[in-house]
Amino acid sequence: MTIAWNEYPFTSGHDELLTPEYLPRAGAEGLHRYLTQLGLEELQARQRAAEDTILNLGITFTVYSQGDNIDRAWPFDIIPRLIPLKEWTRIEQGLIQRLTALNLFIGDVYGAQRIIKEGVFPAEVLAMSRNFRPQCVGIKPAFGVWAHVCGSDLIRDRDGRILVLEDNLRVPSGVSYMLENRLITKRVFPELFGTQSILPVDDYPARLYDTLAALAPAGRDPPRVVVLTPGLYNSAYFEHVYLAQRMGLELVEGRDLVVGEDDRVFMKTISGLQPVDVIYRRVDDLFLDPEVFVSDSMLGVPGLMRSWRLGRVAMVNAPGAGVADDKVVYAHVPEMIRFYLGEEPILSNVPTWKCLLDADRDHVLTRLDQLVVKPANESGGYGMLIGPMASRAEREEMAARIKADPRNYIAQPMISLSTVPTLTENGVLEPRHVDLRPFILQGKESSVTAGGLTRVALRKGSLVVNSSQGGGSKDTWIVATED
Amino acid sequence: MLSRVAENIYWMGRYLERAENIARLVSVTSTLLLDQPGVGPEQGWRRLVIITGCDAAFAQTGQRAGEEAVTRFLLSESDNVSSLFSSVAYARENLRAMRDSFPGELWEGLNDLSLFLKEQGEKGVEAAYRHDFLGEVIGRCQTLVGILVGTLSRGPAFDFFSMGQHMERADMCTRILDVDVATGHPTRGGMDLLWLNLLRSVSGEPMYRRHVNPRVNAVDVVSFLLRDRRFPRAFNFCLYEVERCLNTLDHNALSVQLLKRMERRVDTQDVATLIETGPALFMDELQQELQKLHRIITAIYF
Repeated sequence: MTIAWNEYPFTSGHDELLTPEYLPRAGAEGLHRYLTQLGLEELQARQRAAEDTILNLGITFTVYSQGDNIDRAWPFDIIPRLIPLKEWTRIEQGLIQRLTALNLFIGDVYGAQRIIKEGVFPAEVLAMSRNFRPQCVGIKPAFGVWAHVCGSDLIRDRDGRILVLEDNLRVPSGVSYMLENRLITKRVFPELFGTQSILPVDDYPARLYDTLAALAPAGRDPPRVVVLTPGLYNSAYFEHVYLAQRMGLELVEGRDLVVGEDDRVFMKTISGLQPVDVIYRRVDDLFLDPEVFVSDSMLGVPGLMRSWRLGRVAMVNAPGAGVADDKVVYAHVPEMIRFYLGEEPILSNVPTWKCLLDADRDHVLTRLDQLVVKPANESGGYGMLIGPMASRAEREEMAARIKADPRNYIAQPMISLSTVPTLTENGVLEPRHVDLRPFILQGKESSVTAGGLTRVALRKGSLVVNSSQGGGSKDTWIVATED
Repeated sequence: MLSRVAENIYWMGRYLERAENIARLVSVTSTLLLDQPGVGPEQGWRRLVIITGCDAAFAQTGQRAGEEAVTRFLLSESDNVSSLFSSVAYARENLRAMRDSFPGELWEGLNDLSLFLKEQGEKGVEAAYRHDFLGEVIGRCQTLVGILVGTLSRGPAFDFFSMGQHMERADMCTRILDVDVATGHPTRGGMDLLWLNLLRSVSGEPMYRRHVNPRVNAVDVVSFLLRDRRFPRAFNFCLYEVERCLNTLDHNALSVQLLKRMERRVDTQDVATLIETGPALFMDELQQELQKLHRIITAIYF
């Protein structure tokens, strides 16, 4: 059965494969031709083959819950999402520029606070930040880098422009899905890898290892690096196992580590205590050290913060890095880039109004029916107002809250995500909304994954890409094209 | 290797071995009781509860030690921490956190076994299905051990597994001997069956007949099970294997010293006297020494 491209039901979003004239976009000609040649039936067969492969590999991809484990059929769509290398190179530069500024900001916030003194960043925003850690003041981590691993969420608007939606600087996850997606796609579409020049993604574990190893405080060669996980019941546990194995590192839990009298960190092994130089921690700040943060945390290591502050052990990401992972801070990233780097931002934010500015606030209050309002310190959509869908009473309530505490609110327009053709349950290709999470590494050097994790909202019309709510993922191809 | 991981592997070895032993004990007892019309079945089933060290826990259920109550308690009762069901569940819990470091078949097999017990555990209670059911359980346990022996690189992971397995096996050996020898008062005729039962509970009949004595007698059977150097379920054989594993590790002086003392103690024990006076004290002593060894291993490596 041939693919009826001319019946492709465009949404109002930008489609990444097809132009409104039903033609392939620049760089996508090869993929388009290939899909057309395969036809729908063959595509459906390959989708089933991919699902079988996932089930076979799926032993590693499991949702754990207390007592039982549920093997999850990991939703994956075989049609890749494609970005031309030329465009990607600019995105890459933009991401590195952004993370460089964010790291300078974090260091500044825990240091001289120049950005506040010079009036570029409001002191009140910092004062109310839930992720500011006073224990980090005055610390100077290696290379001035606090956030070594960053997962930034990118979207493409109606005009095809890439925008940054948020920067995940605490313990971003998803990179293992990116790697597995590629593995599956290579099995499903082997022919394409022969004819297209698709940038490989497989070097991520090696780059992550290099980033980690370069932070080791003492001269042990090779340094001892470990991955610290909250344990089996964490939803990203498989990723912790995956990365530890790919890097050849021990996967430790808090109870495997102790801080010695010399303030160094050791892990408990069958040959006694072994010193640890670098910890890639996938445990949130507040659970790292019961002596300093949550005192009944079973996940942490007593004395770990003391050891880190004295520079006896490196932690990735550094404690306190989350101060820049906040919706109001996000709104200030373009100013940060200008302030610290003296450059214009390469990547734009989603337009954001900061309610603490009088003009912005007036704009927001008169357009509540068109905007999305987000509080700074909540996550998971809590306390959010989606204006076009809210009742009059809800909008009035939000207006009152904004007026009472303007610093705590930002507003953005309703975001339109771009689409990529996706094989539906009925076996036809329809547009589905996607975002993109590239992973940026920064330390002695900076690098960005070639692409990242494309998340797709598998339900028709849905803008929610989270895997817990009907989201799936796609392989992401950065493709070199001849000019 | 991380201490936590080593401890998980050690316990996985113990629980897998325990599961197999329980299945063997129930299976052999069922067969034996059919052949002993003179012996009150109560005695036979009670014996099982004692061997597995669950008499106190069983007493709490308030049930009489009949066939159905005991088999259910030992095989499928999730409240009994020493049951077949619990042993497999614990082995699975131990493997879960480290399953990616082992061949995938191991997790799949253990998961399957756990499901099998959950779904079909009641078959072990019904006399008509019991034999096949337990045969399947024993076979699956052996398959899991076979996967490990056949695919796991020799090194600390294998050694901690083997240590757990053989500590448990040695412990079970003393328990079988304790109860069987103690309850087997010499009578004419029926005794041979009891020694045969003892051998069969560890699949040792052919090895015994071939290497020790074609005829079954008390002294030879007990000696075989205590100190045969070639039979993998003999007590001292288990100690040698634990010693081999410990010799690959650091800080083993204390534990190896204790092992050597136990091995000597078993080698020099006069077996005829042991049978005459009753083995209880001696077996108690060995069990306590094993617990001491377990505590040393735990303190030094975990």
